[in-house]
Amino acid sequence: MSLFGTSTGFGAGGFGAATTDTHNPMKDVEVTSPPDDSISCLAFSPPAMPGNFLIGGSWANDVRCWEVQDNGQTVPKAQQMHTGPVLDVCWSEDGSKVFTASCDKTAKMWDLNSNQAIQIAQHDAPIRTVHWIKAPNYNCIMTGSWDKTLKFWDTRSPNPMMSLQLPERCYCADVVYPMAVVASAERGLIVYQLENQPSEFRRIDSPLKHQHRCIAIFKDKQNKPAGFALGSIEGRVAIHYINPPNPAKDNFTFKCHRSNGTNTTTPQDIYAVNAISFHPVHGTLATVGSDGRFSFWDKDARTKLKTSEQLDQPITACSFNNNGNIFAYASSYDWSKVTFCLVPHVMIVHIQITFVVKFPSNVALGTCAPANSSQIVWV
Amino acid sequence: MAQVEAERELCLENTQPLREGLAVTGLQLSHQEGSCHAAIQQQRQAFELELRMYTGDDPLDIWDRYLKWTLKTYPQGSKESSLTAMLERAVQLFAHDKKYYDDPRYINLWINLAQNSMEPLEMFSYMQANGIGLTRADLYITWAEEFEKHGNFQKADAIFHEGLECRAQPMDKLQQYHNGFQARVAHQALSATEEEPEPARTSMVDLRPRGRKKAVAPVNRTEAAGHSRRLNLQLPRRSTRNIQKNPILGFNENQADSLQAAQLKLEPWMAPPSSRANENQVMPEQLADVKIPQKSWCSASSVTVPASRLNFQPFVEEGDQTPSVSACKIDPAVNTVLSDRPPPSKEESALEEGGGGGVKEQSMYLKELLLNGAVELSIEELRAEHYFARKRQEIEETIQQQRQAKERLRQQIDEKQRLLQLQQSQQRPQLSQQEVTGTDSMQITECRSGTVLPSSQPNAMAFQIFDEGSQSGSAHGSGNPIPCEKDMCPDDVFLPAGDRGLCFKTPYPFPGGSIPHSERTLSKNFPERTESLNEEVVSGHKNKTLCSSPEDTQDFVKAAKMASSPYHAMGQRAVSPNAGILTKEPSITPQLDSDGRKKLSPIQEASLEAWGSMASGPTSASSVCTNSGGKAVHHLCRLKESHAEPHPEAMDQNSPCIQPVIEDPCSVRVRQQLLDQVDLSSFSNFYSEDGPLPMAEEDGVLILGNDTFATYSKMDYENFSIYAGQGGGDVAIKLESTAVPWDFYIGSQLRERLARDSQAPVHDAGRCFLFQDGCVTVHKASQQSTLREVAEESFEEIVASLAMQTVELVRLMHSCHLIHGALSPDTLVMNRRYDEPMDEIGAAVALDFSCSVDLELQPEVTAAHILPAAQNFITKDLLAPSASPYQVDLLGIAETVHTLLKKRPMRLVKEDSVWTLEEYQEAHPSDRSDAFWSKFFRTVLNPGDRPSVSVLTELLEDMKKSTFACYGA
Repeated sequence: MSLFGTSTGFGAGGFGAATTDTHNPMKDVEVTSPPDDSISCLAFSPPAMPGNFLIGGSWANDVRCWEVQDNGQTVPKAQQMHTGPVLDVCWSEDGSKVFTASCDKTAKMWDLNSNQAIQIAQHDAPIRTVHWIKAPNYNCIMTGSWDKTLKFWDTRSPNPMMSLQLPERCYCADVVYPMAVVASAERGLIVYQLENQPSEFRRIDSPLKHQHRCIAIFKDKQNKPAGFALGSIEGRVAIHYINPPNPAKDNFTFKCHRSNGTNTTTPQDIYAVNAISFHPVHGTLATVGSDGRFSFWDKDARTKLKTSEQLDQPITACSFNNNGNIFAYASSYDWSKVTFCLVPHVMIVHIQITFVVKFPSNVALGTCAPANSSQIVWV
Repeated sequence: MAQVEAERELCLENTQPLREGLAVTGLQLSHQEGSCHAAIQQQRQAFELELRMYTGDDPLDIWDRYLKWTLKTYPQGSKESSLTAMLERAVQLFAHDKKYYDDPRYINLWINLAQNSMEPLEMFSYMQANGIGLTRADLYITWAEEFEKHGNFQKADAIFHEGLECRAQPMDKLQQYHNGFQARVAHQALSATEEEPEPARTSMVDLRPRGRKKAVAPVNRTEAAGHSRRLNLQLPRRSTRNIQKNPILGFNENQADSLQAAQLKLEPWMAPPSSRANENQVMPEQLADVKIPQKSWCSASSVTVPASRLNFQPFVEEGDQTPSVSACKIDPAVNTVLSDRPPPSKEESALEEGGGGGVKEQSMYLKELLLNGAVELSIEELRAEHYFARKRQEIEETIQQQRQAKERLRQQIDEKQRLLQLQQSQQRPQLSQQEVTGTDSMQITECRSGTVLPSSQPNAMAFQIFDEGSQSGSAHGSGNPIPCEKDMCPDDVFLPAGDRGLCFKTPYPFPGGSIPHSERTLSKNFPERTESLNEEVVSGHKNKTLCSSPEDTQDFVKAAKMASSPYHAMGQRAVSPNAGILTKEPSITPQLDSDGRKKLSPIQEASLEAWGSMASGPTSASSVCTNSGGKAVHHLCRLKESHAEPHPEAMDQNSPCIQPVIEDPCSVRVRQQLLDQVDLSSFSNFYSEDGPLPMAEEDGVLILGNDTFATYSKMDYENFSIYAGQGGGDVAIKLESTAVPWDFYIGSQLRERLARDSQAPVHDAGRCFLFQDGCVTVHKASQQSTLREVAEESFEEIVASLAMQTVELVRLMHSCHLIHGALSPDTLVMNRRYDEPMDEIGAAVALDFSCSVDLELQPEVTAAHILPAAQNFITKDLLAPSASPYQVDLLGIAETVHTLLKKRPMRLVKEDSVWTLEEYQEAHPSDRSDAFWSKFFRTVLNPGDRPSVSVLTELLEDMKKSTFACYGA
């Protein structure tokens, strides 16, 4: 049992009750050489790159790159450092660069060919999100920060191409051209359109009642962004379409990452939804939570497809690879439970990243023959 | 200007007055929204985080300060202040803790909440019912004022009485306010009787009976006030009139009814009344309120509620929604699991919508912590703050530890000193001094062997102009040693940042050079960031290249092979990095060095000729070659050479220069001649001894004349060394191997010439001991660490203070016609201990004057090119050869301060004939630090034709005025 379970008393959730080694109950492939502190973000290389490369940013100020081979073996490749914890990473669409956002108020561009990193953005507060935007007429980096701004950077200039004021601190964002969406503190939700140049498209009243935590855009059959899934700190995800034919019917929320769902005698434990990721091919979504589980959902059928075993630590980040046959998730200490006024300086955190390499066949829904081709679940 | 003033007035109009007055800063902040917005955000964030990080036993204190800050920062009470949210949160937080109920700060929170709420009176009633603030006069005062505002003087008076009955504290304040109130009422009553207005109803509505609310007059009995929970405030005007008629006491028939009504409504407050109206909440009463007149007034037209009233989408809790399930897109016949309405047994797998009533929920995250403030915070924000707090703490701890270590050492030294003196006084008759020194130094070495102060590395950093064209070249020129291979940590299998060549290729490789190019342009704009990253990484993991050259495919394959078996090929990889590193960079260096002469810029060649004219051929060539090694090395070795074999004849013969040839004014021979004219022995603190220079060693003892000094850490320079020592206080002892007490001469001149001006500070020239083959100068140095050491772990503000001291030193010297010549952070010490407070910026103490020139004694030095120290600057085009020699020191200041600030040589850029530092080229004007330093360097680097003393005096005044520099350290 890791130190985590004993020191913070996770007992109520069943974490402490585990007797066997529960950090990898599914016996997935573990990534070698994980960082020394919690993983904050994961990102797989884009389809333009042959092979699969995984980038992970951590609270130990570093960003690491692993190659994931076909046999499931992971090979550490390179790393870069920030002077503060790394909060987000993204790839350029050709896979030659990785962009990293950090608490040191900077974002960097890491050129993987030369293994050089240079600063490309500066904010007045830690940068929470970084996204690469590739438009027909421009390429840029979008950074969202706790300084309540959203900035767009040409990577060659120290000044932003554009800076948009947010109503509150940026908590999470996602970009699928030509749409960007930013969820902020105090339940702010803004959709931007990116054609020609970024501009605010619409502010949306939050479909959720609690703090926003993660967001992911999903696409329609034409491969155009259609809406987004928004996860909250209290075990709930909202599916929200931008222009639904029937808003009342098409938009909905569902509960997730909660304990003893049907038992009404004991209080239900609600955990934060830490990340949402859409399957690049099938459009189904994965959510990971502080309860140490990941789940797969079909938003169109409104069903849960699969839930993982419970890990001994929260899952903080997840990512599908470009063709959707690898799912990476990072289980690490996520700070959601610590009363950190009492905790000593040095925190020993047990971290590993596990790969679901054989993921599609694992989800045994192959028998279903959906009426509609867009609803294929895991083939 | 007038427009600004008008705008300001407009703003002030909306500004709420504060009891304690408004802070000027707050007013200004609220005006210049753009510029100070970030500062306000930061302050707010600081409060929010403090609320969550607080571990003490008085959390109310933070709320109290937060409230005061909010009121002052947002005098207009904008939405952004989130004042109400904060107050609500605060009062709720302490509501369970009765010990705060009489805390004036808590009451203050409540009062502010009441004043900012829609129904302040209800809020006050709630407070009273819950026993909050019953003993505080403030409650009664504000409450009564609220009533007074509504014109309900009787009620107000009753509140005052109640307060007095409860003996609310402070009593006299309450009494005072009560008296004031009574005076106002009496005055109003008097004026009312003088011109009694005709009783007239202003509105028809008020007389209309409305539901149960028959009682129209307010409750006005004191005992009733205590119990009445709901106050009928519908008719402020009428009540005013009542009072006007019966100013002292108006008994009203309605009173009995109203009292009854009030008591009937006596119900326990379950929660405080809402302080703000929710925008999308339907208020049924109000709706009814509107409806009735609609019916009666326009009964003909319509009976329905006007559409506008309900023209909004009421917010309905998710849980209340009927679960609307999307259209069935899947044929349920095919798969039951995927049917739109799953059977109840499969509830788990279906995505239930809505909240699902009845299930108790408990949040498994630190809800209280995240929401415990006026604004919510995310887990990451808290964690980041914790991270930064830890960082700060670590730095503080290191500083603390170092201080303690220093203190310990000091004590040890004092002790040893005492012992030594004791021993000396006892043993002098019997033993020779030499032996005493020997044994003592042994002892000292023993006791200190465990805790030796780290001696700083000699400074060999040269002044480097940033050259965009050759990155690698400049890296070498800066004097940084080539990072050597370090033993590999077997754990680390990553290719570290900074090493070239990653072991996979992307399908769209960038054409060669495109990346370095963008890096160049960017590193110009973000210089220190890039720099720090590289440094950090270089020191962390050294040279673990997997693939030495990304262009070489063979290497790439090899490296990829190695990379794919990280744990097996450790041995091989440990070898390969060396090869990888050596391919590129070092190959450039020897080349540069070997034919460095050919590649020199025209100006350097010119100066080379100047050199050649002064010294013999081979020596000059070698001195130029060492140019990149650093300025200090450069001219100090020259000094040696010229001392060793002066070639006055050679100088005269081949001098292609136009300028008249003057011997190096800093050469030993010249100085010897100069000092022959001066009677040094007439100076105080000058001791000449016949013997040879005594041996000195680290952690030893040095006996000079009648004084004994304990010596410890030693710093070696080119032709002298400085010991930190102890002997009648902290001292710095400089040992030179030339018997020319030039340092002491300059120091004494500085002292004497400063003494001419009664205003000028007193300079301590130190003591000088001249031996046959050397010279020892002892300076008082209350701060043992050099400026470089101090700056090493200090904030920019402290560096600013150091910069001011350096400027002051140079200013004083220049005012005495002395040129320092070789300012360096390693030979300057602070004039006081840095934890001591000071009122006045003093001058830094210079431990080395070996390159100094006395222009009163050496009037032949008329231009900068004569000084050896200037050659480096002239080579770089920073200094015109004919410029005033004083300007050498200005550039020296720039170099020194820059080294302190950025820990690396300057990179200069010329823009419109103005020299600036690369990093401040596009300095952000709002960044205080940038603005400060940008101005500093601009001034120092571009003195123009102005006399340096006035430049420096002005600069110093400017710096003192700046809020950025704090001298208190």
